[in-house]
Amino acid sequence: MHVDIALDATDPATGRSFLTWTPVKGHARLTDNGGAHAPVSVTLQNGGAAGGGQVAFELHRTDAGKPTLALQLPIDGSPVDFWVAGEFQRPSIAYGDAAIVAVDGTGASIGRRELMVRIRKNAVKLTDAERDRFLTAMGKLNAAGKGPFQSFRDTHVAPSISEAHGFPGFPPWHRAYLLDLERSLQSVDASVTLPYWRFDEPAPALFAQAFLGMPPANPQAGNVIQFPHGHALEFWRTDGSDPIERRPLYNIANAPPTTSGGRPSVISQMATLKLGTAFVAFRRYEGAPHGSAHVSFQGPINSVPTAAKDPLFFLLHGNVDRLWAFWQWLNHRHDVLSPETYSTSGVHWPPNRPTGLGHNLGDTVWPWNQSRTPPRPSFPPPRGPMPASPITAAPGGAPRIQDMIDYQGVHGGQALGFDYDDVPFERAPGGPVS
Amino acid sequence: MNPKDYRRQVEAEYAAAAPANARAAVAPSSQPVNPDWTQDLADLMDTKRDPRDREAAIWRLQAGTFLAPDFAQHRPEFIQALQAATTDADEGLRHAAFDVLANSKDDFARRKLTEGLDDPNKALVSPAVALGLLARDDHSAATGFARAFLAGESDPATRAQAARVLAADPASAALLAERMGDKDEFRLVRRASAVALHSVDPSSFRSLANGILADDSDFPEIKATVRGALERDDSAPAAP
Repeated sequence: MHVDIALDATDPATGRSFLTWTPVKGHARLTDNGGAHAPVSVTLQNGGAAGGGQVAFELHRTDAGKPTLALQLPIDGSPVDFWVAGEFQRPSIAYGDAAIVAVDGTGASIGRRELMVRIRKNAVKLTDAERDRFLTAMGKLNAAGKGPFQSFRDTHVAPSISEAHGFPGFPPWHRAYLLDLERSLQSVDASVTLPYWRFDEPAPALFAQAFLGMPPANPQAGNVIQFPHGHALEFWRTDGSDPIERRPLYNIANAPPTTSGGRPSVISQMATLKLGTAFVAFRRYEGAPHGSAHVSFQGPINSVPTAAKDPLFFLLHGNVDRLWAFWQWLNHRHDVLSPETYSTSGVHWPPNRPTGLGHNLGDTVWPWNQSRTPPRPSFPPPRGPMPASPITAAPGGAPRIQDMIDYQGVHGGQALGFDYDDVPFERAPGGPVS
Repeated sequence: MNPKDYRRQVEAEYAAAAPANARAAVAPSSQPVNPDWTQDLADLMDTKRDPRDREAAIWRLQAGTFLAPDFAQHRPEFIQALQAATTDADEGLRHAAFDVLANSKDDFARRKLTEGLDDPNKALVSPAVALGLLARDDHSAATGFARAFLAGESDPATRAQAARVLAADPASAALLAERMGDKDEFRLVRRASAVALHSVDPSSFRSLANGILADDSDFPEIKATVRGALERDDSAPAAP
């Protein structure tokens, strides 16, 4: 007797399956009924490695999945659908350390699917292997300045600043930007996710030589990061020949200061959440802690036109996006039609952008829309369409602002295929069951 | 943990962190969090203030640049104040000002840095710092100095920085290859030369790297450097 277990979140090219906290549909069917004459009782359960990813099941889309699920499989091989998600706070650390197994009434395994509960994590909590896979993928994407990374660097520049900064589209634009980078990394190594720098907590491991490194101890020797020999980012180059330059302006044994001159600086997660429960209030986090985190260093990272030269940019913004995701979850802010979730009210648009193009819910996001029509930047879009994901159809090649908001499909749409280690999937109160 | 239990835990922490009516007390606003850039500019320009306070004002103002439309009216005055700070008596303040100006390709800063490399008596930052800042802005302004430093007898940190600058100068390929291959050279300089040569002449780098890997007497650190580069070259995704 054998059960085939299929998941919608499976890369057809490799057969590998990737889950987040957000449930996806699975299908179980008998491919060998063993001569049975009636539907066969099987139980789906976890079968991964100790300490690996765990999953939870249910017959409908839910945030309360269970560790096992009993199914009756028809003997004619017809599939039976179920829902499965990564069990919150039980992510994988490598591909295949999570698995679904089907067992028969005797407890014998009659089917198995290996998978990964692939979750964005706090950078300082990565295993060495996770860290190195991430760095290797970044290094390959950069390819000593000759790889696709340059097009990411060329996207976050002065002429595109009004697409990404100073207006309500700041959070969704950067969510799209990170998603593009993460999918590009996953095209190098599908087990990689983008880690985040939790800048309101000490993160010495992130700035260790083995990770994002430090400059020479003597400031007079310059700010170029000194990686160990053979490090994946040792040959990192942008703009043709520029290495990574960065020097923390605070003691990396601690978090950056929460105030500067008596005013908010790199404020805590709690203080960020308390900016307000409506988007118009919360989006002030673009100043503090976001801007303040950028200027916690000397080097290109402290300036909009140059910040994306430094790989730290993407971990910093991973945290900025996580804060938005956390705020969305805490306050149930996934309904794109609610002004509490997203709003452009009160914004004074510049004369060249009187309707706030690029920041309204239905507007497509540059550069993935490939637009060169003013007020969009006039230079050739550095990035092509948003890369497709093998595990979800969302958000499409030319995402709109609204496509970046309900990233988990809480209100029924398709998820974008990522989750954060401390932000669960939770069904909207009164939201769709499936 | 079950998401519902997690919510209860987080909401309890949220409630404990502020008065019960904290959510209501935070009035919705579309204004940035307490910016006072006029005061920050005054602090930066007040030469009687502690240099560290003035430097902190630089970073508060630079954080403001991320809120481009709101900050735009202050930008000209900020640039002017930064330019003034580049000649301040305090080295840390000078370096901070140059750092911000170099990121915006400021002509004044470029001129000051070049003058300092040309005449050490006019130097406002160390040569290694000046080379790095100039390279961030405009490699060509630093190329001549970088060649002289790398070929000359200055300290290894400056020579390594010079090699990095030459990563944009194909005419320096022979010099970089010489430094990369010299086993008597500081490893810091060899490594920087290897990285730079990889940029300006990949085939020369590959040839030299293979020689280093085949040389039993060469240092394992340098072998690790060149081996890593060769492996990445052979497995990197294509640029769009």
